[in-house]
Amino acid sequence: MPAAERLAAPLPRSPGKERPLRFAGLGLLVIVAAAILAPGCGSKRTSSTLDPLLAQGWQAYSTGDFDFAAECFRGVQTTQRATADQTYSAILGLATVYHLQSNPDFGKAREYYALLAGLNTENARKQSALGLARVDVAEGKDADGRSKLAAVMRDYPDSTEADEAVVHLAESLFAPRADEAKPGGFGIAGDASMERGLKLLEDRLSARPRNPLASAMHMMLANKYIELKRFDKALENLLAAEKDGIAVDRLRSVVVWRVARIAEQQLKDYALAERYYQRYVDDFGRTVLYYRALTSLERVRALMGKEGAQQGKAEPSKGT
Amino acid sequence: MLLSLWQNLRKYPALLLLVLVFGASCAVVAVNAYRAAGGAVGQGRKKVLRIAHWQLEQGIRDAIDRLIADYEKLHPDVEVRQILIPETGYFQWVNTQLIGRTAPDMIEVGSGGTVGWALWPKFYARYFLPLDRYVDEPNPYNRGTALEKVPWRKTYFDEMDGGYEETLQSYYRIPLSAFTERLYYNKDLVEKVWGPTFPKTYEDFLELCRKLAEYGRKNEKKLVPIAGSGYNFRQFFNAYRTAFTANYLDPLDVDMDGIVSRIESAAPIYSGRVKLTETPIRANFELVRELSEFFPQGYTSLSRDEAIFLFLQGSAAMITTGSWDYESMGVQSEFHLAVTEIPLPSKSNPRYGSYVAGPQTEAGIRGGFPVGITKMSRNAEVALDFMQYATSLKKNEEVNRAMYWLPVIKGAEPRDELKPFAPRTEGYSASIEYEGPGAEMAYAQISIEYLSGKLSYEEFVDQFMQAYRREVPAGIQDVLRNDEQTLNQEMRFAAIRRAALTGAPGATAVATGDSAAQYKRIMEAYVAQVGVRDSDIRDWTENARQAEQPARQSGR
Repeated sequence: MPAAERLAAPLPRSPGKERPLRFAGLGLLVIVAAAILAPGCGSKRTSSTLDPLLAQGWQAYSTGDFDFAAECFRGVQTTQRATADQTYSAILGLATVYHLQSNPDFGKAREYYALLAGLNTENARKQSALGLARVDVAEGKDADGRSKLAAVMRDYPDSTEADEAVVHLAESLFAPRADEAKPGGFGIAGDASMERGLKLLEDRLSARPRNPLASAMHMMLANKYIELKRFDKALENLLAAEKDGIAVDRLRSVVVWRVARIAEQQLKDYALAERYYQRYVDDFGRTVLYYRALTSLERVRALMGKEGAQQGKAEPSKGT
Repeated sequence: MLLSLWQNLRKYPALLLLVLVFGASCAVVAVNAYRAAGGAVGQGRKKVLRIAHWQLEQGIRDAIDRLIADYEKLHPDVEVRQILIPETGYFQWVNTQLIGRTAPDMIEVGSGGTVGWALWPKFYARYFLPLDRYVDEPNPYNRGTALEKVPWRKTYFDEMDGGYEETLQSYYRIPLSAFTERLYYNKDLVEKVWGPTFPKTYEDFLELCRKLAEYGRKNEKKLVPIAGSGYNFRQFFNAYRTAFTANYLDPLDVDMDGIVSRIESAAPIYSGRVKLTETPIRANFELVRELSEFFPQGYTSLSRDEAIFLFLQGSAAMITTGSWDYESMGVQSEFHLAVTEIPLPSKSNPRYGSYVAGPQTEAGIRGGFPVGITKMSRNAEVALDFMQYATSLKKNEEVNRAMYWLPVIKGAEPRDELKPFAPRTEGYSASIEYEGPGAEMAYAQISIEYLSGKLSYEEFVDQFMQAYRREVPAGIQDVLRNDEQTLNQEMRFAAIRRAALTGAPGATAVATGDSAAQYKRIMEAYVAQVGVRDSDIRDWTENARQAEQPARQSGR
């Protein structure tokens, strides 16, 4: 008997007991169905019900509930009804979870990032390329990772993904490496590597000066120039970062403080130091450095007064 | 028919039990859901808001009740109820309520010690309403005041920094009050022993302590000058640590960001570039040891509550604690209470004067008594409205005056008695952390032995530095591992924003606010953190190399 007919056929009856038994059976069926339907496991997913599932997945990912996030994304990825965009979000979600969860599974991350590339949209390809490169770097495959990051810059030159690739490539070139044989357990990046990283950031800033990560790149350059004690270049980049607009207030306060401190202590440019200490006092009155900025402002003004007085004394002697 | 159904069902007891349990569960869930929605039986159709906090003092409760009454007068369709939970079990209670999805609409957040510190960001992300879309709009309850057109965030004295969750790069908390710490004293007793003006310098303060001790002996009274405890002692120590180490900022802050990081402080102590025998550091420890002679015997094992009890009983003349205790101390003490700053050595002090930079700054304090709004609230918009009411210029002043706490809104005036608690903007932050990563336990044990007189300063330094050299390398690796976790967390958030920017369904719904702006913020925070990490590692390796050189030379 075909399955459909079997389901349609009446159930065999036991004489005298049929009605109550059927009722009990029906009750049992209702309870079982309710139990199955209540958590939503038995429902068929349509493309319109998948967006909330994706949102649940991203939400779970953002709160560190990675297993549940992966489950949600997998639920969408494996259904036939998902739209192309939903499939993209699900695969990207899976790749991201495996890549960035507390105990990363780089193999699976790589697998899903590779799947993304097959989706044939520019967004998917860009995320795939950036993701694969970053997985290599995270696994310590520096040469592979760096060449893939360079490929993102080459293949999608005007994209934010390329901007981010520049940041990660520079980071990889600057990063100290764990090395038990070295003092403190780290090996510091060599000069050539440092110079490559600096040039990379500077080239990107000349090519795309208004890119969304420009302020971050200038801050990165300033950090390195301070580390290398090249204070004129550090100052140049701090000023550029401030001009570009720093979104995080706390970081803007650090940049203003650094400009003032470098100008005063390293470059003896007291006029610039005065301007930036004043800016710090005006804009960041609720930070722990406020009073230091205020006293430094007084000190710098005193130094400027002394310099002015010395120049005043020196000038007539020039004329005589 | 019912009888025959019963006779038949009787034969299936398991099924019957299942049906009964299922029915009972449905009823319990329905009643709880109904109650959670604010519609307890016989209670009309008002929107009910519930606010949970651990401020059990009568004065605080009454002040909040008055605020609620005023709000309800303005909004007769709303009823606000306080849920008071003792601080000891508060974090566990909140945890259960959040997981069980029965949490109130508004919750005082941030308790739970170290565990709570780690878990709250996860709670915010999962259970609390992000406030980013509201904080840049004016608070409607400021209409007609100087703050009428000012964004809500900017009406706070700290620009709502106390509400910002750095790890999530979002606003989740609405602070109601601010707190500072001061030296409280028994005015009657101090005036009797010393005179009407409290000592302004450490020298006079020490003299006052001597006189108080002598007064106790003469009058056969059980009296200690200072109610020190393991907790209160830290406030003294930190005030003096700041005064003596503030000038180390420039030599130690190698990345010039204005903060001496844990590694920037530990690396030069490890290598010996900074020695604990240097005069400002030695002076710091010696001063605290000198002062601790006026604390109760075995003070480090006393709890905060025991110290407060000693003070309120009149068995101690002074105690350091926060402005949060002002009202309850005033009510419980049978003497006049006064508040002052911890006195510092004067510049003319021959022993300490030349090393003292100044007092500890409070310019960086953030709003406290922070309240979050839960996502599961059926009336989240009304809860937000209530919190905006509570943080309007007029109401924030009123409620804080009633609670005897400091308001958080610009222009709101505290009570006159609280003026000594106004945050001190003139001052410094400490620039050395003695403990060192990994050496915290050793520091706690050995420093107490020094402060209690069991070790000389040289013995303390010698023993502590042995532990320091042994423990700090591993401790620094731990700090760097934590840094990596922070960086990873930032990359997680950047990934959501990037996904939202490419239109990934679901990611756009989760990423509230402007994703492009948030992505820029996260990447800025990320590179800043990478910069600190790289600079810290360079500083550490250079100091570690320096530390190895003498060892190698002596090995030859």
